[in-house]
Amino acid sequence: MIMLATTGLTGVATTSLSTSDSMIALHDAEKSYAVRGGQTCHALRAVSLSITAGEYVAVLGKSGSGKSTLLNLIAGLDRPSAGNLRVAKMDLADAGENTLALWRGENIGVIFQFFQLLPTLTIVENIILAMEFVGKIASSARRARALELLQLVALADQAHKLPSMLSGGQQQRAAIARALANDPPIVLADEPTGNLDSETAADINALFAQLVKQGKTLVVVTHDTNLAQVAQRVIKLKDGAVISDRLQGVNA
Amino acid sequence: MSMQWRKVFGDMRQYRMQICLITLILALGTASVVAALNARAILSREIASSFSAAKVPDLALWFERVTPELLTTVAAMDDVIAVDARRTAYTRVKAKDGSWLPMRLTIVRDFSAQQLGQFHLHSGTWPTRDGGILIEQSGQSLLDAGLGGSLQIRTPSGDIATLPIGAFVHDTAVAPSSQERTIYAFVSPESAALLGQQKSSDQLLVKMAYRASFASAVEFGNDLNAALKRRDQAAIRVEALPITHPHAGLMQAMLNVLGVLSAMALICCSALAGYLVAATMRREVAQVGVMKTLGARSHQIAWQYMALVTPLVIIANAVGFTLGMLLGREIVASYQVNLNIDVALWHVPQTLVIQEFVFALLTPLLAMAIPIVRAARMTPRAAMQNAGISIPSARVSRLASILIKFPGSMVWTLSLRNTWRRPWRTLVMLLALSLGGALLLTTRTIYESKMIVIDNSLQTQGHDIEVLMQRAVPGAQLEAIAASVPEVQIAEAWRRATVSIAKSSTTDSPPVNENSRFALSAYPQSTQLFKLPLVQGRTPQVDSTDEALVTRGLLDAFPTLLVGKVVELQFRDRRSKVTVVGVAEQIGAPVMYTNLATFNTVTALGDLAQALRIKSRSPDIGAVANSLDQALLSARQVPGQLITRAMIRDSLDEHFQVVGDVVRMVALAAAMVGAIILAATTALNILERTRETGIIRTLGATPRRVAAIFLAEATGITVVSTLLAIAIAMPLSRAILDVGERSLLHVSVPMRFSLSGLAQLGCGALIVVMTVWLVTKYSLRKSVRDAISYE
Repeated sequence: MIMLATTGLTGVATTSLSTSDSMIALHDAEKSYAVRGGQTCHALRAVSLSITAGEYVAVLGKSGSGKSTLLNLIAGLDRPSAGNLRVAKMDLADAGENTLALWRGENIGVIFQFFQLLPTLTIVENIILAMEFVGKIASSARRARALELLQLVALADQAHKLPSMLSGGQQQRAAIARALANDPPIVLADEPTGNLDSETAADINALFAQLVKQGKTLVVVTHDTNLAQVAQRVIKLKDGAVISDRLQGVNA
Repeated sequence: MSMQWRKVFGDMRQYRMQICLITLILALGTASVVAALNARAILSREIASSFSAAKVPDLALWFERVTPELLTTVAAMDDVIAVDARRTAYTRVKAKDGSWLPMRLTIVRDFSAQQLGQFHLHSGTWPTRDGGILIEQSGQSLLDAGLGGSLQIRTPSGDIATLPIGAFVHDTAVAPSSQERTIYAFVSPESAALLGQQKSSDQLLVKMAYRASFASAVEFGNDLNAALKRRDQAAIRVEALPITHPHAGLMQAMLNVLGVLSAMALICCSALAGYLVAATMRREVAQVGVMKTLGARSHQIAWQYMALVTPLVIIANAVGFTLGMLLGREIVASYQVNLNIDVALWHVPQTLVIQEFVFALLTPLLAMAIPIVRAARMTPRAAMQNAGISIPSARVSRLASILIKFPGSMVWTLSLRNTWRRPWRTLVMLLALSLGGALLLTTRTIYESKMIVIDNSLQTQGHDIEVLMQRAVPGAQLEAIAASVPEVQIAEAWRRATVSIAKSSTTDSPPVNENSRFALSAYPQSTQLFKLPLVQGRTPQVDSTDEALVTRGLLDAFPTLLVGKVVELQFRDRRSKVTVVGVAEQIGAPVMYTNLATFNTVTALGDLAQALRIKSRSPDIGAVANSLDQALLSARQVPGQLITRAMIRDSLDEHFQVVGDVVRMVALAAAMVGAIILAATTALNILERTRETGIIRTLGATPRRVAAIFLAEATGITVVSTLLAIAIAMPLSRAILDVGERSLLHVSVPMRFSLSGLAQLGCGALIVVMTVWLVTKYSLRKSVRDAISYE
């Protein structure tokens, strides 16, 4: 089991968020796309929900239900067509592209299904790059912090390898370390175990549980029932609308 | 319609922008190749035929007077197929800018019955016998009169005669007047008389039946003169003439340049077409995987995509060929003026057209087939899992991760490493950009170095104006006339004669030909204007009677004329020995310098001076030359030629400019190819890395930061290319300058690296980077979500 503790690492002040804070708030958020033939595709329909700081939320739903769209809206990768969206004290509907980029780097850690590590940079360099973009961590502390993060995901011995030289599970752990580079309060994961075997998926599961213990707000889009089981709250989407939003026991 | 064809048409609709771009690029590439090759083919043929149409004689024989009997005698001799009689005189004509330009006046017995040295009508009609003067058409721009207008021409007595222009003619055996700064004119004996010239011919032009080499012409000239001597009709001088155009070297260089241009066009055309198809195929690989899963075989997929690109090549060929043929004619028309040739036939050999067609069809098809076949041969798994992000090869990546570590910033490390993700592509870009830059720098460096040397050399030669007199005049008299001109600071009467090296002296000098003759020039005892820089030995002693100084040009022509060597000179029938005591550097024709005593030993011409050298007090050399001209004419001493420093400089400048313009064209083409490839590659890189860009933006990079990454890549390549261009340009310039030093200027040419060339290169690099920035900016309009989900 990999034990994770991101706060108190080199160059990072401890994240102190009250669990009662509303970290993510959507009010009647809608997202629609124009498709060929003049038709409109409604990816999200009047979604309203609130996620408090430190919550571990799993978003479930079939393909095309709007899970990824919801994640994209929360990450500021996309903008709502209607409604309000406030994430980490930022109103995302009106923010400019540059403001959003910096905000995202500081407040959101994104984990992708296909890892998406930059192939020309080594693992440690991938993490340092994320810190450079935001500038939150002092430049003198970046390398040490990156190595500590890799230590936490049990990849310290692979730090100077290129992504192509690592296995899928190792790459995903490296991607998690990169997502935590700027110590973001929110971590978003899009099918993080979708491309991994069950044993490696269990490791990732454990990592996520540790993140929540550290006070991170975690939103995971997944089909993986094991991953959904450890979440505190499960939101189900269908045809762009929330059909179920329930709390469940924490088994981390 | 089969589903495969439906897919082809669907792809055509989907990729319409790329298809239009590919067609346009291919059309331009084809047009360039066709234009360059057509122009080269037409010019190669027409330069030769134009020169041979002039029926250039093999020999020129000088007599006191050519009689009809002499003409008949020579015409009847063995191996003589044509003879013609002429007289050539040198005078001056008033130019458009008010100066008096040198004019070579050829007196022709009958314009419509020319046997040798033929010229033909350019505009107007053959005039009646006293109907005016004929001007070689390339001189028209220098004169202030058109057809029917009048020209002011100096007579031997110094008066000004006015003659109407009867016609403009084209003499394809001479270099353009604009380059030579000499007007070529032709008159009938009657018109010659109006100009104060003698009517009779003194020159016999001879065409041999068969000329194997220059040496055979020399031998034939000797035999011919020996035969005439036996009949008491010996020529005063016999000269074997070269049967190549005065600018033959320049013409060959220009033809080679066209060859280079066509190669550049090929690189541009095929590389860009290949790139664009590679870009398209990169987006198609997932579909290739799907089709393969459905049962499609590699060749079916390859043919499907070839069916997509083949019509483009055919359309591009049709457009490119039409455009290329028109462009080729324009190039030929431009060269026709620059080289002063006649282009009689404009057709291109059929075999070349077929070769061009095959070449223009196959090259882009081959370039495009490579990415298509590569994609078609991918396994279904590899094709479907292709994420659209090019992963560099493990070896290159490992090497880059070890070597490239930009201190302080991971962003720059990322940029530089990305540059090497596609090593071959990067190398092509570097090659094209650096070669283009190197050519540009080399051209500028050579031009500036040579012009500085010319300026310095003209400066050190001491005089500002040289007057070559029509008749020899006592030196003191010439100096006195010149001294009466207020702006003249120093006036020296110099002696001048044409001598040759006697046959017994050296083994490398042919007995009778212009190449064995050179100028012997003597400076006054107390000269202040003889200031040539010595490279070896010393100047002749003041009281010596057999010492000479040679210029490097003379030494290059006669390598045995080393310092300390005793050489026997021949002036008319007189032979005298002189010792070479030094070598000096001077731009221009080869000259041997002596003091007056030695000159008299060689020529026995006494105090008669043929040249006047002037140092001006005023910076307005042109005005001083005009005043001097007037003073000499007032004293009834007629200058034959009046050469200012500026005239020599302009003439040399014009020659360099012609070659320089062509090389600059090549440089520009190469740099443009590099720039287009860089811009296209950057666009392709951005396309390939769209998803990667989305990831970077997800990590918090602003669009400006992402643009900076791509810009840093382009800047890195541009900077490296610029450094490479400088590194290539330095030895290349030095090598070309060495050739120019040995064969053209005959003076040391220190290389002066062109800062203006570097500035031009810098501007070019800036434009390239700006172009990349625009492409990047345009490409980054995609939202982060679209970028991440890009396939």
